[in-house]
Amino acid sequence: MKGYILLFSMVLISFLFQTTLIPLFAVYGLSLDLSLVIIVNFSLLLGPIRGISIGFFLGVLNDLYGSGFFGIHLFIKSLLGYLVGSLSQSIYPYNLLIPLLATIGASIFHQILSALLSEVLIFAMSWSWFWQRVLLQALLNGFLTLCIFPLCRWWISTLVKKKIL
Amino acid sequence: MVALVLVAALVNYFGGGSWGPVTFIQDAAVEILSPLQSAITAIYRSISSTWTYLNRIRYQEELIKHLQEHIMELERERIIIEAFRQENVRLRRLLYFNRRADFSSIGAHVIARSSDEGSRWIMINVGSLDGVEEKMPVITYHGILLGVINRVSWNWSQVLLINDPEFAVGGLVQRAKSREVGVVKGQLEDSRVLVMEKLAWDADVVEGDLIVTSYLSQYFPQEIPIGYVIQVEQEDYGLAKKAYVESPTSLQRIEEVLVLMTNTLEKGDHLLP
Repeated sequence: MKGYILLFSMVLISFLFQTTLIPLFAVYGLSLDLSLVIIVNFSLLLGPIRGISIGFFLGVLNDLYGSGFFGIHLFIKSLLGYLVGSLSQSIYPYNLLIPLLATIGASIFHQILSALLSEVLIFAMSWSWFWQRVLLQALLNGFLTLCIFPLCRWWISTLVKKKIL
Repeated sequence: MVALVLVAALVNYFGGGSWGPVTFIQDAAVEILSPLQSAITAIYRSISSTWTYLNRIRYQEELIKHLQEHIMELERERIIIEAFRQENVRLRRLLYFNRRADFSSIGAHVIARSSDEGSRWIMINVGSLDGVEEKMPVITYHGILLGVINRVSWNWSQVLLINDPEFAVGGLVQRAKSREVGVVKGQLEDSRVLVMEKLAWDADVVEGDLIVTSYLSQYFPQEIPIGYVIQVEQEDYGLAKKAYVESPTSLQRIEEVLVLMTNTLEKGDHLLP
């Protein structure tokens, strides 16, 4: 139980940073998606069930703060947590290339699905949007994963070693 | 996953278009988290301002000298402008022209912001207890249009930024010889650039034109600057024109804002005297 409290506190802190400081360091109007990176990293390290829980929690928070159809983030982020968590069961997730590729893929999937599920954004989708925004955002998130995946791995393994998680 | 979709659909169905029962949970969640967000933002702001202060302190003396000269110059200009202002008031009275909007404003700090590509908003630390209401315009301290109040709770409000893809406002080319009217919208492709649509095919719009809120806006006073035209292109096979507009302020990095208390706004009101 203590492990889950710690885990979800960490997820909550990441959300608070996501909505306060991270947008201040935007590059070409694009800011890092720490929430997505956290979902991908923790799902790879903890599997699909915990992945879906983390995705659900962050999705609900995003929907509570957002201004659109309630449930879009909840659905997409839970789905991502499940898919990435399932991936971790069939491949060795500790090679840095895996979280990097998983983050880039998840980021592209997240943005395209968000746009498809939005009644406004679906009409704004274009190739230029894909190349200039989606791909660049995915690469930025990939870079963030390279920085924080080793930290997440160390933190999770510490919790596991201490039998907290 | 099916269960999740069903939960989301039910929440929206029973919540209704304006959120209904969901609003309470939403507001409660944000009320709980907003002090934490305020704290993080305040810590960042104090570190940032201390750093800036230390960096700038060595320029202060030079700046003071420069400012003293500038003040003298401005004082001379102020006298000239005052004469123009009085003349303007007299001429407006003569013409029964648009009256000056008589509403107050309230300053606020940004406590949270979106980093989601699909929805661009900021959260500010004033709410209904401070008299803020939905649809009130929000501007920067330099008077640039920033967005509109989208959601209000007791102690916080959400501002939908002008670069949000769902945002739209009537825009006007400020240049006296043009005065072309269009609709300024946010766009998904680039959060830094707005797009002005519905311009006539022969509209007189050129790069560098200042776009301000038009007299057609329902919620915005006239003449609030929106941004400068950076590119003009034909659309709909040459039947219409489209202008790309860049806001002179960094919308996602703004830290302080002004909410215009326009609950008594009437059509034709504008900011300038």
